[in-house]
Amino acid sequence: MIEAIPLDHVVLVATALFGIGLYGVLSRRNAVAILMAIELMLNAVNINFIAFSMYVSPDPTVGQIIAIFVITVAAAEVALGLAIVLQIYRNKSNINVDDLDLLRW
Amino acid sequence: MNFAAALFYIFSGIAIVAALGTVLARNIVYAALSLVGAMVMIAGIFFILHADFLALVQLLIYAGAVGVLLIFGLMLTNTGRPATGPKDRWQRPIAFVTAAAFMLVAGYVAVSTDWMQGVVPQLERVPPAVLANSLFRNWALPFEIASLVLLVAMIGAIVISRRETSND
Repeated sequence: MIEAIPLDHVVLVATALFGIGLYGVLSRRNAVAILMAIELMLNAVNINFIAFSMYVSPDPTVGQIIAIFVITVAAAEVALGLAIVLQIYRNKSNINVDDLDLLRW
Repeated sequence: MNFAAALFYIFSGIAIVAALGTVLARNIVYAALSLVGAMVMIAGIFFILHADFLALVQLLIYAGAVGVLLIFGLMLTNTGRPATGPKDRWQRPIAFVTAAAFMLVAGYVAVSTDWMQGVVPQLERVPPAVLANSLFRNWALPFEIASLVLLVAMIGAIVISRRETSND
């Protein structure tokens, strides 16, 4: 059963996924690719919430409910992010974040 | 090692490989597809961690809705020409050092902490009915606010991405 999986290993997997997502956010230049890396980081956080609620929380439902709220906010975030990216593409015909320097002084 | 644990390590390995594919793939459509693969594997991890409902939600929302939405976004913004600008990616080494430093620190904390000190692990399955009771009783206000957030996001996305027409 699940007892054979130490909590450390679950947290390590989530750490690896979060770090990979962090690298993606910092190194990618396509705005949609940055959104995808953010989704990866949010998923890593959800793994941690569920693992902690199962292993060390007195109430195993709390972590799952927080994870549901994280998924809700992530869905809203990706919809709004894509709408903004689409509008940028209409105005500049380019979604390379290095080129979006309209606010530079 | 039993079956669930073996499955957990297999899912985790594939998820990490797919995540690497998401951030490293040169073709952006391959990146989106491997992101969907990583989401499916994370749903498997949820299932092994006894969060059945969340595994299904993960499959429906992430692998289904968000994956399709991201691929739509890629199709609508595909210029078909390579990115302009300087070729040397000065962000890459900085990003690598930052991510590696984060992983080292967080990994060290995860390994060196004694998580199980003084707590009784709750390792039984949470039925969806219990989850629903908790969600609609103890978490009713955040639930309603979440629905408001989704409504505002939906209207906002429509307003932002709407084409400006001259006759209105």
